[in-house]
Amino acid sequence: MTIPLIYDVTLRDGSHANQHSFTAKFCADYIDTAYAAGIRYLEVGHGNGLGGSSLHIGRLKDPDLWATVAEKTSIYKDLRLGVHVIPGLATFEDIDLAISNGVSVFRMACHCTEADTTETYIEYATRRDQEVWGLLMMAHMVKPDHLAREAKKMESYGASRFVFLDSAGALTPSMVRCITEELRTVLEVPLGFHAHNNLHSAIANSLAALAAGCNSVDACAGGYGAGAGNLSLEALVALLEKDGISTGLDIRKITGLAALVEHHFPSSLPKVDSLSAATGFHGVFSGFKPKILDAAAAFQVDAMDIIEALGKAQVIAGQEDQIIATAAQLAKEAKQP
Amino acid sequence: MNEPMKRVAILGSGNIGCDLLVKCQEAEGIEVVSVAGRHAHSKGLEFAARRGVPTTDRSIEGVLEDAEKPDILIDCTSAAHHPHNYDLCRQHGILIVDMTPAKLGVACCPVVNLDLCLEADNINMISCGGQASIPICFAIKQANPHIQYIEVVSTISSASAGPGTRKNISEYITATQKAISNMLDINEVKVIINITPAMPPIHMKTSILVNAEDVACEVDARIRIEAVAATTRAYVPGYHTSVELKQLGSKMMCQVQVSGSGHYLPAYAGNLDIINCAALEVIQRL
Repeated sequence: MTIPLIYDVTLRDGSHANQHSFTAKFCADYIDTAYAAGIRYLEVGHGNGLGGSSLHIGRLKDPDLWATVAEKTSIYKDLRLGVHVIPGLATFEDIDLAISNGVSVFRMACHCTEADTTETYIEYATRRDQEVWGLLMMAHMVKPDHLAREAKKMESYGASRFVFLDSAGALTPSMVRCITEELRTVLEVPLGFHAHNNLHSAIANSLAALAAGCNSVDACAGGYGAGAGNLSLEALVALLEKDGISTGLDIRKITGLAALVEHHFPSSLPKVDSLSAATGFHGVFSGFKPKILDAAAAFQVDAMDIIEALGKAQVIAGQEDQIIATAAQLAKEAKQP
Repeated sequence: MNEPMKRVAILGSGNIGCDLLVKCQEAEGIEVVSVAGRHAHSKGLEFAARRGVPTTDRSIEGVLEDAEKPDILIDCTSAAHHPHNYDLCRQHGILIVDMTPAKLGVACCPVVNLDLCLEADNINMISCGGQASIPICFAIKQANPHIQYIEVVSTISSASAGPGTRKNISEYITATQKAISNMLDINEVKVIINITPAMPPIHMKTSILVNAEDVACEVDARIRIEAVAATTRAYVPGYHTSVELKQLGSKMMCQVQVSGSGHYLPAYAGNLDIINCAALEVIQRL
């Protein structure tokens, strides 16, 4: 196994856990600590990326965060700062603004079947000399060959790396291996994997991805991310080091990063519970969890019923309004004799 | 005496152009004199030919070759191509109805400002999400004149989103935001679009969200929303509220569902239907 690129998504995916309330101060501390630990790729922002701040998904609490981020990139010259970009939420103007804030890695993401929605976005950032990756979300929803065809489109648009996201934590290690092998036969660009822990499989899936030929993984300090959380950065580094694979990261400082998160967000640390198992099993986007609980309370319906209905309707990330529509519908049906 | 037929050319042979062709042919007083595309054997041009309409594969240049020019050209190409098409139409004195999010013409949502648009030489139909949301935004604004923030989230089926739509997402967002903001005098507008491959394809859904504190009277807003939905239904038959205005924490949300009339694509393609129904409403008044 070659030394994997570890891409730290704590300050982006973790936003889902704390309702997008990272402060500029916390981000500054986190970036300092992560840099000292050896992290060189780090993602920041709203949980749904650029343009995600909304009543629909949740407002980003501290817009000053970007000024801080810009300052850090001017200090740490070899730190690559990334953003998640979903066409449909973000615009070209958002990309321009991110560039002016020191962002240099653009991860263009869309639902696993809709790669062509990223074409103009990939071209836009590529023409501005940015590092551009292609990401397909909710990868469990299609067969590996279908995913590979979509990924190939992103490569043809100019993406320099392809990452598949298990956004609902619904994949198993053998599925991750099959997908990676299929991607390797079709793509020329390097591959990466993004795990969620709904079924306790983030570590196993990420190791399977690396063993099968991915050479980057997304990770979060303390696994701090959407729903049941992501791949735990410190556990991954510890496991790789034990197997003799040097990550170039300082394990003591990496565990310190997790401690920093634990200290600041004791009430929203990731937990694999009954709801996350249900979302994993039914393939429902991890980031929906708090909204499912809110809607269940507002309409007095069972959260498990909402999860099952969302899974059956194949609702995708970005359709937060469908959680409310589904809860309203379930409440209406419950009233009828 | 009958009014003379309006001579209409449709530029672009994708989903929008083909659905408009059927709608125009079924409407009274409109004659489709040409459908233009760029590929001789495209599905759209073959569809138009089967419906007995002259076609050209040389885009707007092909349309303008005819000695007898159309009165109205409907631009169903893309935001990037529209400026060129508008230039040529202006030179020839042809009115242009723009279906792309190019933001050059006067933005029009029939239920709100049709009368104010009729003198313009370029009428912009904004976007499907714009046509679905503006009536509701208009009702909320009427009930709460001081409202300063509104959000619009549309979800359309993958099957209804053609290549033009997919290449114009950033333009779609900015054009829809600008149109709502200007037309209704609302400071900040946030627009989101999702494209979902769920099977069977979902009917277009558009949610409108506001800060709960901006809504003085929920009941009044609800009554106005239902009234404007009924007015919109007069030209978009499949337009219905699917979630009534409801407060959830600090926000309020309502949702409309738009089912299409099934002219070219099946009923799920409400997004196609609503912008085309709006354009037809404009053309009939020109």
